[in-house]
Amino acid sequence: MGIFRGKRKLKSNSALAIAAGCAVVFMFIATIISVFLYKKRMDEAENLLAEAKYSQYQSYVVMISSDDESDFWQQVYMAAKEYGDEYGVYVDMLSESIDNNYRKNELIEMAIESDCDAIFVEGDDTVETAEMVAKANAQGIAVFTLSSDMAVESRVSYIGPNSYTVASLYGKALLDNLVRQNKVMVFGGNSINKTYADTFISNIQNVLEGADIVNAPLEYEEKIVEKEGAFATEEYIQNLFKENTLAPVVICLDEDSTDTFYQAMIDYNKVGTILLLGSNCSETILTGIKQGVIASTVYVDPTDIGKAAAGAYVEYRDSGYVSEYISVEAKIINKDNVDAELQGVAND
Amino acid sequence: MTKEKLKSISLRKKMIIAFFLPTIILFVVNMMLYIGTNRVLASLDAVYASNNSLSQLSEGLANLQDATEGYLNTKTSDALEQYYINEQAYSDLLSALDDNNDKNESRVMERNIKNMSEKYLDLTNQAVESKRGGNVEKYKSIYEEAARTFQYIDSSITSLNNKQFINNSRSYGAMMGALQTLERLNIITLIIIGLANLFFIVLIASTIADPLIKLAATADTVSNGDFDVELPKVKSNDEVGVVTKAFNGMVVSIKDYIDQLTESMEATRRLRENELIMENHIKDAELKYLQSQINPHFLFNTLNAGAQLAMMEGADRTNVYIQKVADFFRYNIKKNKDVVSLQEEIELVDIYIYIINVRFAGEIQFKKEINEDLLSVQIPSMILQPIVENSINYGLRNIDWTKKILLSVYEVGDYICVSIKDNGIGMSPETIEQILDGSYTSNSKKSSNGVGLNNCIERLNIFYEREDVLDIISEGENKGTETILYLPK
Repeated sequence: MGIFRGKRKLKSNSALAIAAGCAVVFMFIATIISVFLYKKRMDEAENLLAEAKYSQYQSYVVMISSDDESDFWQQVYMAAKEYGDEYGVYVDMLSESIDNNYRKNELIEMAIESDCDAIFVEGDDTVETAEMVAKANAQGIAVFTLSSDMAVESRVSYIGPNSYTVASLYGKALLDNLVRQNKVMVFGGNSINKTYADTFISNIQNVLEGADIVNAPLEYEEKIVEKEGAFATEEYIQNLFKENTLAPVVICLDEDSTDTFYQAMIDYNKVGTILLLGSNCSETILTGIKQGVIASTVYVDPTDIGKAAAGAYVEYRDSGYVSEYISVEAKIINKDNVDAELQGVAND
Repeated sequence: MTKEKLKSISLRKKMIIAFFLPTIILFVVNMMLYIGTNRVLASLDAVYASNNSLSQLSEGLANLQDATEGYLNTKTSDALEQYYINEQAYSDLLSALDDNNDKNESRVMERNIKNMSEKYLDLTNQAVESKRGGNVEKYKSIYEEAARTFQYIDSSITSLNNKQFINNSRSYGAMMGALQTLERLNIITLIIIGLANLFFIVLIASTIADPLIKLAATADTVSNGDFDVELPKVKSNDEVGVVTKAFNGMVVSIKDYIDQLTESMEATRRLRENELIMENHIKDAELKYLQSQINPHFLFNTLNAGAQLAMMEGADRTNVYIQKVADFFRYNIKKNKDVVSLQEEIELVDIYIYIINVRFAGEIQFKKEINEDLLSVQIPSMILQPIVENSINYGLRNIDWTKKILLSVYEVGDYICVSIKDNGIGMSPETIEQILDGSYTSNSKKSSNGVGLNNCIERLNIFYEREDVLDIISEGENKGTETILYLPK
């Protein structure tokens, strides 16, 4: 055997037999390893296709808000989903799973057609929403309003802050920050309805009645973005700054408009000339407070709303009854407590 | 399998194993890879099955919507039939969706699609029935609601289809990854097995070829006449092992035969050489006698004429004497042959002693002690007389005391001993040794009648193929000499 001539030459037949046996064993081992590796890889691929065993829910609840993508409503949704999961409630945000953009009343109708057990909806004063809530009620679907209420009897319960309490917090913020300003602009994005803004102004007027304000009484100007669409609020605010039709005090009633106002004040160099009071809590808003651009924001913990909503439904499902009004505490964030809130956001 | 069994595997079996084992392994690996590939391809077919179902559902829904709208527009029986066909088709498609409570987004969407579809079917039925009933207001409002629901279902199906497509694409990617893995494993495994096979076949081939190469090399050496080559070791009991064993046996046999032949030739050669030497010595002896007798026949006729003259003159003793001398020469002429009996040799000695005693006036007392039974033994001719002549010439000639010679023939063991003993001057041990090994030289030729003792000893050794046929014993100076022949019976 030419290649084994020399030092490495195998001299005995038994050594050759052992080497040949080793070669055969090596072939078998290589084959077995290949089979094993291939099977492992194939099992991984097939597991992706295999139908998983999911846990079951008892109740199917749909959550619908005016702005499902906002941090606030996402947090409400996640809290309700998490809390509801413990009690066999599957909370679903339809807009998350449907690619098309549907209006609130359409989503409610879709939820009704899907034969859900309950609907969590952000209340408003539109007729369409009211009709859909009534339709749901007619089909035995419990409707819970969250964050803002509706003037309909067909809803089972409202879960959110007391509007008067919220107005009190803004009133306190105004008292703390007003110098000589007289005009106050109450601004709502397209998720805020006029009724809510009217109620807000009415409440704040009540709160500040008799308060020690230099240029009392304050004049309130209500601005609501009625145009629907992705950039409607931002465009509206840009126009206000461009036309310089701003009041020295601005109260934003939603998170989007607060964020946009904050950025516009920096862009148009209005920091220090406009007293901005915001709504809700986002990292941008907290940064604005920290920088002194936003004086304060009134904030209801979305997690509390979500948990309370899920809890309310569970109570209603199990006992057939739940309180019509479930209050969730609102709180104010200003320069005194913004660091703690920022820390909390950082930790999250 | 034991070591012995391994060694006993035949060449044919080895070749079959070398061919079949790699072939079977390669076949198994290829089958495995083929089955694996088929499995992946079959799985690939199933990957987008859910998308297909949803697409069919979406198509069925669109058909139903068109059929509903068609009937509500035209109210024809064909359109109604189309409606029922599509309604049934959509219902059938819906039955594939199960009413589940699974905590999974896609499963929830399926549930919603099913529930919305059931409502939609209900609404279209109501719209169609209202149309058939002529209730214009009702069918319009129901149709509007149905159209909205259609939109909801359609967008839900599309969304779910997209979601499923993303998931399925992930599965497809994984499947393709598995296929690629399979391809790589295929190549690597085949390379590994190919190399291992090559190694295996080379090893098996070497177990077959190596002994043959060694055998061929040894055979080549043997064919060149070198039988001292190291024979190849038999390591296996296969056909090559059997051939190697037979070859080794053959080489050993040939070697033994050649040795025997060489030995036999050597023996023949030695025998022939002895014969030649013997002939040479006899010729030499005869030549010396002939030289000493210018014309033996003339001398013999002359002696016979002398004997007749002595008888006519009444000189009887002279007559006997001449008669004895004539007998002596006649023996030399007649006994011109290699072998004679002991008796004939003794007769010659008697004649010689008679002649010598006439010459030496009867000084020599010759005595014989002979076992008559032993006289027929054959010995080389012209042996005893030269020995007796030596005893007279060297042992007795110059002594002052009575000269005696005793000739004895007796038996000792397997030998017949012929002893010629004198009471002469004796010999030294050195002289005896020189005489026996043939190195003794003297001017004895001058006084002897020609045939020396050396000649006798050599002929005896050659004839009997022994070195100890003749022995000389002397106890010292003036104590006589005894020459003994040990003749085998």
